[in-house]
Amino acid sequence: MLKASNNRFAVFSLAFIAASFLQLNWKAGFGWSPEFVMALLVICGFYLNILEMAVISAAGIFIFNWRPNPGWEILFFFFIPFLAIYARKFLPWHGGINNIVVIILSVFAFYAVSDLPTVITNTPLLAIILLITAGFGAAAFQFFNYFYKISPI
Amino acid sequence: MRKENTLLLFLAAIVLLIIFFPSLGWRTKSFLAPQAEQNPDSKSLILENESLKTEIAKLSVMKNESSRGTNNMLQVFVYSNYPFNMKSQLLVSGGANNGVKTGQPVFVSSASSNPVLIGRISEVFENDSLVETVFDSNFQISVKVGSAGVSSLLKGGNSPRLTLMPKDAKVNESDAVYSSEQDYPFGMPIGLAKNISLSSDRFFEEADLETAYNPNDLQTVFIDTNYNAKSVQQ
Repeated sequence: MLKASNNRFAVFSLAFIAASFLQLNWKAGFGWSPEFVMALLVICGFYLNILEMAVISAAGIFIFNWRPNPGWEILFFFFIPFLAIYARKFLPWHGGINNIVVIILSVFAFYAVSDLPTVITNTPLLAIILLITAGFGAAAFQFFNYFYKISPI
Repeated sequence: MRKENTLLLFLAAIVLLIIFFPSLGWRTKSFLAPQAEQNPDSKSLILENESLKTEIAKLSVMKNESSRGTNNMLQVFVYSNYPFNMKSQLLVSGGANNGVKTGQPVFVSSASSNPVLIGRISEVFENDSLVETVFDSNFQISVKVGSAGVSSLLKGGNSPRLTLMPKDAKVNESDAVYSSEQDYPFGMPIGLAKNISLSSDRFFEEADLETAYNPNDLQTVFIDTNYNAKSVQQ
């Protein structure tokens, strides 16, 4: 049987597929969805190395890109987990709290950069998205934290 | 092969797929979130009902308006849709090569109903184009509501709202909503008015817009490529 550290990439890849499935089906059903995939990509930044994370983020672009050529919005989506790793350096709390803060900042930054005026006029929806995404991120982080150690920055 | 090399190979393969075969990603997405099965008869009936209500309302306001069919429209396939929140865009199969231009209206239709306006072309590529639907937060259009022809501003979003209707307006539940935008043909059905209430400042009436379709379930739509409004850009 493989050691936990060896199957880490496979586990996060499967978690990524599950999060994509959840997000796309939630959106198809309700017309909006929490950012499960972005939360998972941020959590990947705590456990995987840069190369592993790049592969999963690129898979995210592959599935979520909706245009003939990837626009800057989807490229920003790709780079957010890397910015999250960098932001981790400056946060003073322990992993679980840092994770929630980085997820909230990432989702907010993504929507603010994507279309700030729309975010301002849809504050209640953004608040619900942030709340559910942070809750999902906290639960997923604790789950992975039980099996794996956080990678050093 | 070392683990890092394998990962690098994976990464390179994914990047190549993104650049050269984006449609594989769209298919993967539709595999992860299959479109809901909807009874075609019920969908057709709802669209027909919406269309007939608009027809009655439109005729009451403008008796000589002729109905518009989809005969001269370009039928296109929906490849993909915007996966995040706040915006609602569809990537469709018609592009500049098919005569599609920015601003052209986009419809959904069934065999027995007139076309229902779902949005407009926002960006055109060589063989594809992006449609901004009424569920996009940036979408706004002047509309009229019901047989009284009450003027309103339709503001898009996850829950599109009919705004700025006079407080004493004679608007009823399930009244038809149809276009009255300056640069668009008059009387294109959009949906029905629901949940009528006073605005937060209590100066106007507002209502939700109910549509007979789910933008995430659309498989084919129609583009009015013959339509050349003043605002349609090259």
